[in-house]
Amino acid sequence: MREWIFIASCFILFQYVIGYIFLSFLWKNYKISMLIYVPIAWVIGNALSIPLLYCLAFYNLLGYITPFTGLVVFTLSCFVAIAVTVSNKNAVHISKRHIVLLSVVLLFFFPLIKNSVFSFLIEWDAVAEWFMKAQSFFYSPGIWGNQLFQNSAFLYTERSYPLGGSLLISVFYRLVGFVNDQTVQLYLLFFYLNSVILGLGFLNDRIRNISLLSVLLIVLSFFISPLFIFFSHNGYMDMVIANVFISVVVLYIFLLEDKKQRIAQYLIPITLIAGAGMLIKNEGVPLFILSIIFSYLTALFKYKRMKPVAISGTVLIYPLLAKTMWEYYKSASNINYYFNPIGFEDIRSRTTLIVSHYLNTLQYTPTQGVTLILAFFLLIIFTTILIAKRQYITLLPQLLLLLQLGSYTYFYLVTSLPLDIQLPASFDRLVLQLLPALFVVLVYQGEKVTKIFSNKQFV
Amino acid sequence: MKRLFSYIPSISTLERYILPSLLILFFIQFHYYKFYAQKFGEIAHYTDTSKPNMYEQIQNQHQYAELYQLANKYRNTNVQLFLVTTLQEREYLDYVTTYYQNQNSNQKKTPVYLTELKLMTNYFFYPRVVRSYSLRQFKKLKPIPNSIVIADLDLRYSLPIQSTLVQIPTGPKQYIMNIKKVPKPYYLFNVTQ
Repeated sequence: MREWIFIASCFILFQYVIGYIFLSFLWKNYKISMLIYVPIAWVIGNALSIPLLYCLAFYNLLGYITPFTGLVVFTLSCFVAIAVTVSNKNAVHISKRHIVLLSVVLLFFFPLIKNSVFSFLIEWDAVAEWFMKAQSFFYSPGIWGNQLFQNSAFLYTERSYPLGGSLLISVFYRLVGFVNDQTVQLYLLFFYLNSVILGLGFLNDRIRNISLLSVLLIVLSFFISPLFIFFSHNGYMDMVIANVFISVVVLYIFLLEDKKQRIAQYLIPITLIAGAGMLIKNEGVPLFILSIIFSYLTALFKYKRMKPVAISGTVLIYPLLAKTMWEYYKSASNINYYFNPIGFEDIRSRTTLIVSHYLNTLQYTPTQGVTLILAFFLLIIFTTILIAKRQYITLLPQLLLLLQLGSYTYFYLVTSLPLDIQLPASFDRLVLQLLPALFVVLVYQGEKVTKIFSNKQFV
Repeated sequence: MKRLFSYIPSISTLERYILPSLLILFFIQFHYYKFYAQKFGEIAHYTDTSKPNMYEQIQNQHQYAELYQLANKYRNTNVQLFLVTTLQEREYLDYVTTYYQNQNSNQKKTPVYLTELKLMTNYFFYPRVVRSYSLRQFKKLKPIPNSIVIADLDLRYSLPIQSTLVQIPTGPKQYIMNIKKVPKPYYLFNVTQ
């Protein structure tokens, strides 16, 4: 047990380390709060790993991932990280307050961390799709000749779904040498923990004169609803997408607000992270398209800069290469997506059903807790004030969120599956994907509204 | 009250007013968190961290533990395996497989069903494929001795070959994950002479 937890911890640390190395080159001479740097490093680490794993799977080279190669790569990356730290000591801003906040959060979530390594796998989608595919990549070195993609007995695994999460899980299986679907849940939990830390860091960074106690109470109240706890490590990929989404929104807000116009420094991580989202789950595709459009247009029209867009466009090749390989494989193997739009038939009845379900979800406290409805009203109040004060730019992150929700609504409107079954079965998880980003948007708008009040612009 | 706030650093006037609301909000949310953390954590009471092979200990509390043990035993053998599924309600309809299997057909779609038992069987036995049969199809088969039959129905009362089926016990688990729907019972059989 200890050995598996140790390997899982090294695998988790590895993602932080490569993310840290990447950011220390990209954000050289920045002074960024530890509570933002650490979770962004985590998601960048994963975003760099996923396209690479796609390439390895495409060329049937996953067999090269062994405990030995894992140890060599991990050791090397640690050495590089140490060298980078020595040459750039002031990259991460660490204060006593940051350490206290991080320690309290980790202590608070200790029961969840402990539970994640004691959990067997039982949830439907986790078993049917993500872990089943991860298992197939343990037994097979890649996608070509992989039984899961060839045998009709596994059609229900939805073979056309992206592989990012499954490939990450399979790396852990290869490192421990067997299909350990229990300990790997610790790895998945870190997508949740990093979302919490990023929310914490963002609140602490944006609203500076707030006490430590209030920061903790606000963040924990928002992030401990049953929906989060339930999906934090049960093997679903929705929390992973939620982590991708919150990271993209935070970076996009930094891009909007950066007075020094360090555009490429935010566009590149947005490109990589959103690209990884597209390779993890289908919901990542609209997120990818929207975040690329929003961030690139902001660079072009707000800052009138072309060069950072060109540089980030080059980085875009990396996730798109992985996507192209996967699409080529699907086309060559005749694997198509079962989604067959029926057009806007019975649109009125569908809209009624969808809106009614959205409203029910909003007030269903056994899964959402009480914060969702509170957040909804806060969002309306903040939006009204910001529109009244004509601060339209500050509404862009919220628009990103709404358009993502709009993309889900579009799919519900045209899906060929029975809506009365699909909607209740999936919408909770889609809400979960948006929630951490909603928290960030609320903090951002709250900060703007507070400034309006403190400058007495409102009265 | 003043003393209480004096222990909290840098608290602004606005915060003093909203702090009680924040505390109440936190405790409401914490009540949910505590419930889930406790329910998930109960499994730790049934495992001994000092013993080797923790994975097996946790897996023994799995709702399909016996199926998992059977898969470990027979995954890499030539023993015949049969999965008999009878549940055909709408909630078990496998839309994805039904779509793929009927996509080139203009006739009425033949529904395909997916139960938790089938899902777990495929997962535990992978890469071996366990073929699934309906009760009617299975009645026509003649499984050879030592074959294994996995079913969602007690076949001893449904088949003429009942005397050849010996049930493998599937005992109740110490750990009950009561935040999940109670799984349907399942039955494991060994075919004898």
